[in-house]
Amino acid sequence: MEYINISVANQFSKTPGPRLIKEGEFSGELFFNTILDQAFSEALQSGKKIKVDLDGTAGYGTSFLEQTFGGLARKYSAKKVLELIEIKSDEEDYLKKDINEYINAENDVQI
Amino acid sequence: MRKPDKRPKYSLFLWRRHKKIEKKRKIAKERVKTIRRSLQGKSSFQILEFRKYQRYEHVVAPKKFLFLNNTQETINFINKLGYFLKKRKSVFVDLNLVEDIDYGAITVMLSVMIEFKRLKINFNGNFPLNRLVRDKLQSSQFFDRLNKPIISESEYSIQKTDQIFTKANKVVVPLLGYNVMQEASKTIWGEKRMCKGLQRVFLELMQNTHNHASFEQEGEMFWWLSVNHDVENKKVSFVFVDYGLGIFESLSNKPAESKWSGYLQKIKTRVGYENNAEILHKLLDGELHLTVTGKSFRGKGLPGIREVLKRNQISNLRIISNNVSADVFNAQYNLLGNKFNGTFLYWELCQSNENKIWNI
Repeated sequence: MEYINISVANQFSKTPGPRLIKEGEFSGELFFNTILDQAFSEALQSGKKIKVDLDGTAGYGTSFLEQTFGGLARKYSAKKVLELIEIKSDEEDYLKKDINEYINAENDVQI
Repeated sequence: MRKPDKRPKYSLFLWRRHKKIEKKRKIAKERVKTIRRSLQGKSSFQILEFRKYQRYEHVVAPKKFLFLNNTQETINFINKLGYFLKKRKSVFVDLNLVEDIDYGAITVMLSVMIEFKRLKINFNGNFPLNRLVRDKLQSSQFFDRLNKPIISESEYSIQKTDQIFTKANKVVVPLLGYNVMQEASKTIWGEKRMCKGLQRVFLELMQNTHNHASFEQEGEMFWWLSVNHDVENKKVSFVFVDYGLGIFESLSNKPAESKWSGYLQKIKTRVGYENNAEILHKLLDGELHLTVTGKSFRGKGLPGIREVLKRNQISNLRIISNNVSADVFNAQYNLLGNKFNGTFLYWELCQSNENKIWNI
C-alpha cells in the first residue's frame, strides 16, 4: 500500500497550537486547511493512504487534534477517515486512542 | 442700594448654613489634629511618604500572603484591590507586615497591578520588613514593574531566567511552552528533555482564557504565567492566572443567545449537584460534560489537564476558581467562604515526572 506521508513537525510546526486560527498561531484549523484536507482529497482520488507522523513536536492540545481529525471526519465521514488515516505517535502513544475517539465521536463508528 | 432681607425665614436659613459650615470646619480641624498626632515622633521621610500617599486607599496585605495555603484571606485582599480598581481609586498596598508570600500571590497581585497601570490609576506600595519575603518579591521584579511603563497593549513580560519568569497575553502562544520546557527541564534534569504534558497544560489553559474568561468577547482577558525555578530542589513550579470570570461564573453568565447559556444550571438540574466543588470534580473527570452536551468533541480542556496529571506528566495540581479550591492530586475539593473572580492553577514539574529525550 502506498502512503502519503505527513509530518506535523517538519511540514507544519514544531509547536502546534489551538483549535482555531483566531485563537493563536499554528492552529488545528490552519493545519487542516493547508495540509490535511488537500492530502485527504489526493488520497481519495489516488487510492493511497495517509500516514500522519505526530512525533517531533512540543506536544498537542486536545482541541488541535479534535479540530484536525474530528474535522476531517465531519467533512468526509468517520468511516472513510478511519480507512485512510494512519497515525504514528511513538512519543505519545495515547494520542492514537484519543484521535480514534475524536473521529468516532462524529458518526459513532467503532473500529 | 438693596435692602437687607430681614424676613425670619431667611435669618433661619443663614443660621442653619452657618451651623453646617461650622460643623464641617470642626470635623476638618479634628482630622488635621489626628493626623498631626499620628505623625508625632515620625521621621521627616515618613512624614513625606505619608503626605505623598495621603489620597491613596490603603490596603493591608495579609501576614500570610499565600494563595495556596491562606486562600480565603489572600482572595479577600485581592478582591479589595479589584474593588478599588473598579472605582478607579489610587491604591497603596501595605506589605510591611507580610511574613510569608508565595508565587501565586505575587502573580495575582502583579496581574492586578498591571490592570491599574493599564487604566492609568496610581498603584504603589511599600516593602515587606521580612527580608526573605522582600527578596522573593524583588526577585520576581514586582517592584521594577511599578515604575516601568507598559510596553505593549497585548503582551507584558518579565524575565529573569534563574528564578521567576512572568508573561501575559490574550491569545494562545504555543512557542511559549516550547521555550519554558527547555528551561524547566535543564533545571530539573540538567539537560533539555521533552515534557509533552506540560505543553498540553499550557495550550488548554491559554485556550480556555481566550474562549471563556470574558463574558462579553472572546480574547478579551489576559492570562498570566509565572514560572519559578527551584534550582536547589530541582523543581519548577508554575502559576497560571486569568483574572476573568472563573469556571463557574463563565458557565452561569453566558448570554441568552449563546450555546452555553444556562449551562451550569443545566448541569445542576440534570445531575442533581448543587455544589460547585462536586461539579469541578466531575468536570475534571470528564463525566459531566458528556452528560449535558452529549458531544465528546467539546470541553476537553479540563479533563485533558487531569489526564496529564494521571499520566504523571505533572505533579501537585491545584485549582482555585470562584468559590472552589481543589487539590486535584489528592482529590480534595473544597468550597471557599468567598469568591475569586478568575481562575488560578498551580502545578509542579519535578524529577519523578515523565520525560523523554529531546527530539524537537
